[in-house]
Amino acid sequence: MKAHEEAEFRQYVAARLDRLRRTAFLYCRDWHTADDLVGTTLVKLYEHWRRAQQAENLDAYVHGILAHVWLDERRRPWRRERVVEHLPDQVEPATPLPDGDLLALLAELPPRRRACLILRFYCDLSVEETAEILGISPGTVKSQTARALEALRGPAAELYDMTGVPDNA
Amino acid sequence: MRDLLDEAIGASPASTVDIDRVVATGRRRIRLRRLAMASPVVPAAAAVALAVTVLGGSPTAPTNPTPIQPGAAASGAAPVYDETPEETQQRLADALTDHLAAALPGATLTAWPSGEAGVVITANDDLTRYEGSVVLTTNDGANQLIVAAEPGGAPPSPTPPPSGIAWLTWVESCSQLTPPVSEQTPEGYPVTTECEESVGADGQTIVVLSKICDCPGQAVTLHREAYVTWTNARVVVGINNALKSGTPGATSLAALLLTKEQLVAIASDPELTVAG
Repeated sequence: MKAHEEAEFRQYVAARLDRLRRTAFLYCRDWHTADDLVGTTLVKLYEHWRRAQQAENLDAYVHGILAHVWLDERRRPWRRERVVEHLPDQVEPATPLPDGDLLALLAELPPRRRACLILRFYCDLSVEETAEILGISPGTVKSQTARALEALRGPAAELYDMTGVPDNA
Repeated sequence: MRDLLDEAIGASPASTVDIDRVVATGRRRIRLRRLAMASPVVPAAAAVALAVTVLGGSPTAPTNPTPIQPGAAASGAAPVYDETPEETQQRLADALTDHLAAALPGATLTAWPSGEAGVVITANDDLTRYEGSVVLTTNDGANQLIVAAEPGGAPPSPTPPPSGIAWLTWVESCSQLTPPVSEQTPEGYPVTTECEESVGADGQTIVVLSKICDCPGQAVTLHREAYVTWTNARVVVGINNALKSGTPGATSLAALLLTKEQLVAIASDPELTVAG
């Protein structure tokens, strides 16, 4: 990568880092994991920076990388266990989901459905862009998004009311 | 919905994403990919290098590209890389950038004379010389650094470099120097030349020249060059303190931004060679 390209890369990252971290946090609900996901995403972006710059929507391209990094990472066995500094003395009972805890509700969604919702409503990507990223049809994006919103509707009806479902969802 | 999600996320904690580490890792992966494409032998080596990087847990540790014909240990031969001239330029620029980032964290690198950000290496038409110059700017001041790499080992006789950036005749031994009777700065302060010779870990010959001004109140190293001669390649890296030439008090700093050891480490790096 030439020096001016690297400067552009750094400039882009500086401008988008916070948004990427917050998006990653929506996927995994853990800031350390979110930063790992973003770091991996940015290395991939650096590797393909020239191609990425030719993308019609660079942000969509990057959010696509992030979504796939998350989907790939969560399949890995070591992601199923968490390293903790101290073992708890006793097992804590499962905490029921508080009504209206949007992040907890989001975490209950199947991964691709969660990705649809995040890409559509947090990253502001179109149905077509979301479909391309996830390798599914626009119709599937619409149905997955509708189901995701439906799942959120019961426990957080007010959320659904405030959100509404766009015509093309 | 976006506002609701943002509200649910709350404030972001301080980021642990290290962009310098991202760039260093990205560069290494690009180099490994190039090597994998260049030679059918390399993918295994590349995979090993990648595994070592991951297992070692030190993503910023330098990983040299694997040459197709490594220089024999301690024989003084530089490694030979199978690459295009453009890839050679990029390899040299990457290696120099990595060295400077490690030695001068936070320094701004500006290619000279183009003014582009970073390090730019150019080649002459017959690919017998790759060279670049970069202005290093830190909070302490600025220096100019030059690098020139040529294939072919020691020249038959010390000759001036064929093109413009290096400012000294090629030096393979201190005995080649004929110290001027008197040398002085434009302001009239006396300048002495110090020469040191050594042999590098890979058998390469290293000569370091330092021009030191006996300026009022302090000795100032005006510039320093490290000449490294391999059996099949030669490299010079120099750093110049006299950025403000022509102005009163021609030196920028009391001390160069790179130590002698750092300069020698850069010039001795096999990754900065273009062996032929």
